[in-house]
Amino acid sequence: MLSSTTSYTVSKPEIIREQFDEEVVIVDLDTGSYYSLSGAGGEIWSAIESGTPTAGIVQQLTASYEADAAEIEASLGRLLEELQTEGLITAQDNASATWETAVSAANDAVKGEWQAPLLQKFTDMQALLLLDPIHEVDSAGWPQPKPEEPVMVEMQSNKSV
Amino acid sequence: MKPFTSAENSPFFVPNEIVFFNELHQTFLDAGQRVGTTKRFFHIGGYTICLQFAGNGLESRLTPAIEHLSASPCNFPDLTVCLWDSQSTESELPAPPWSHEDYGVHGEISGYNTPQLRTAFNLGSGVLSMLDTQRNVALFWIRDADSLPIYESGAPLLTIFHWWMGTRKRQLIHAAAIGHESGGILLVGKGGSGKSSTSLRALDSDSGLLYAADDYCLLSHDGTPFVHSIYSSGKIHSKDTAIFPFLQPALDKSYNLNNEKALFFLKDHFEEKICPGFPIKAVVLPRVTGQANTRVVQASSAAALLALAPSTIFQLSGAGQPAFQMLSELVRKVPCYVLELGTERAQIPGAISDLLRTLA
Repeated sequence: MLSSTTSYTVSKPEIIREQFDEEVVIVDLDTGSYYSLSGAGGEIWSAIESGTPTAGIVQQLTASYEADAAEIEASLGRLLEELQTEGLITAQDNASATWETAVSAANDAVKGEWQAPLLQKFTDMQALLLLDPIHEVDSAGWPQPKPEEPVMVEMQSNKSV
Repeated sequence: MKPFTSAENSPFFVPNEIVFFNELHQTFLDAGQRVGTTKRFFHIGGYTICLQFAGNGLESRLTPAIEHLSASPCNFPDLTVCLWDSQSTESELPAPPWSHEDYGVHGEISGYNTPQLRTAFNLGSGVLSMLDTQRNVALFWIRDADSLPIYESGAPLLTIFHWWMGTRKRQLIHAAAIGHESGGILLVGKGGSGKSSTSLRALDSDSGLLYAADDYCLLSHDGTPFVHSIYSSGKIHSKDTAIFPFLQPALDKSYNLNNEKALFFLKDHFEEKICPGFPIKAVVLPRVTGQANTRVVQASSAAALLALAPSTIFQLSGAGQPAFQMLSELVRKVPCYVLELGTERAQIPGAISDLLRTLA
């Protein structure tokens, strides 16, 4: 069950993102993970970034989309859980009501087709953030390169969250 | 006059990291005095860069990939890079003043990266790179030039170019680039997506396409997005060399084919097909399909950013929000496409030429 007064903030400055019309690209500079957030995810992310509490996001979405409120709430709940599990957002108990304007604007609009938010996670860059171990050092203290022939880092498969 | 309260406030104070840079620079100068120096000049990204080598260990390994940008000597280059190895110059570096815990993921040294100074020691290659952004002097050192890995020969001075060009509104990016002098495309995507093979194939076609990059290039974004070539080298998997017979004359035989990648230096063999840069007309994501025919379909800006930004940001020391912002602006500014690569490989350059015609 979603807490209606909970709002969320982006967890840390190392999470950088770019919002396009239908999709958000999110990069976690600390972990090397990056994400595509699509469907209604773009609108939800905007609401999160503007500090809209959960109840406000639900109201905004039900006013914007042709879908059952329970379905929207369930999808939102799953997404918020995923975003928190990934460390992308942090919950704050904050009963701000700054979402009213967005809802009234949405009420006047033609409702769109509901597309559940989809968060895809990509981990193929994490290998680039692995710290090379120091094998040995010379007499002055400078590390010696790896004993084996260095090879290009190849990317690995991606996965959905 | 207010007295200075500490040495740091003195106008004559030199921070420790600059003192160490100066010590290393002096080591280079001493080595040069002993074994002689060679200067080579290159015109990269609109700037003249002087590579000053002490001894003869590194020049032949580091310059072939940038030979297509060779320039006439000048008295006041924009950047001077001092390069030497201890083995051939019989010189020793002073001990590093940092500890093992100070090495970061890209070899950045904690405490030795300031607004003025950048420092990284690549633990994989054993290359030390330092840049003084105020004096526009960089240092490149390796213990033994013979141990220089293949990727340093293929894309030499990547870290120093990335740092310094970043101070000149040039972003080093992970992308291939082919086109015409009037405009071309960036090919973006992770390793194995077909960037290199697609760009190298342009060398063997009569499509008129020119090669600017197969892996790394420079993006400038003052108005019209523009790509600058840095390297005229090509890398493909060693197992794929038979698919590119036209590249055989350009194969760098100093590295054997037991390596995962084969390296090619293109300037001497394909000079007329190498271009120093062009305006960017589109960002293209190559994708191997297994289908016979090649075709071009539209892609979203978000898909292009996903293909371009992470591999750029995470490969380069210190690239973060500014690089991400610049790449985001690029994919918003130009159209983005997926290039579905067919097994009829001869079609590929033609499909790109057709796309460029529609964008002219």
